[in-house]
Amino acid sequence: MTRPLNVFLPVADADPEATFARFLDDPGTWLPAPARRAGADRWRVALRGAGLTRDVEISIDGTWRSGAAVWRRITWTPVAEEGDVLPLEKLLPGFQGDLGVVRHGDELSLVLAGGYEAPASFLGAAADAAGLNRVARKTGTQFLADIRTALAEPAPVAST
Amino acid sequence: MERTTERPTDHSGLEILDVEECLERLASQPVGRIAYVDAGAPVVLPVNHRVEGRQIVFRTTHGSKLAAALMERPVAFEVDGYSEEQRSGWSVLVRGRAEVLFDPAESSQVTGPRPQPWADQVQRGWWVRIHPEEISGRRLPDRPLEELRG
Repeated sequence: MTRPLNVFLPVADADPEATFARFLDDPGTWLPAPARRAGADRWRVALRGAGLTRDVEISIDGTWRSGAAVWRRITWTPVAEEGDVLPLEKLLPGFQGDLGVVRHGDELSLVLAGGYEAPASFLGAAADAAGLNRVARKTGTQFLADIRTALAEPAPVAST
Repeated sequence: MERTTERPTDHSGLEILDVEECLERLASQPVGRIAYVDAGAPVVLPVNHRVEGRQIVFRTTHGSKLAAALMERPVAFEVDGYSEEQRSGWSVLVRGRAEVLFDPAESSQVTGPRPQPWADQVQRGWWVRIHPEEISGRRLPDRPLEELRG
């Protein structure tokens, strides 16, 4: 079952035009480091949150606009690791949604809007579901914080 | 708000409200319900709104309503009223798209008494506008007293 996840993070003291330009650039330059390319539009990234660090494979599509926002379709799937004692989806749920940069007056915000996959067995276990929601929210917030940091850094100089 | 002229009825015998009366009734209530799809599932939530011309505006904060508006998703908006005693009521349904008023000048053009959210524990600094694509309303009139007494 898909559970909604909507996370907002203000970006203070940012140059809006430079931030939009960076966001439109190669996601490998602003995804949480170290982002390793895993395909044409896919990267392997370590996500942090709720005391947990897990590798995920992230897929990011091209950009689309609505109002004063620029969006990129984003999906991540956790990668199994040796020694996992719990099913992967109970440690860190997969996510599907949109990642956006929104300009609101003089302010910029990063937005992660979509849903994560909760295992069907969690539906009857309120405590487990709340725990998974906490992990998803903390992970989403940290993900945006890492992107905010990366977007604020100067764009890497293209190698020739 | 009650009209004396005879209204047309729909297939189930409910009176069909014209657009102007729908707008009047929309504006007559301080609370409406916005419906949209969040992460693939339907959601209905109450908001304090006001009517600007043919558009509905309300204030919100970070959350799924704002995300839906930022992405200009399709939404529905509903207000209603009823009399349990008279077994009568009415409802108005608006279908359209939500959008955020990004431009401070545009949101400052929202005139008249502002929609003041009753849930004011957090600042609701984002203005959302619903662009109606369809407005419809129905009314189940009051019943004669003798009919109610049965």
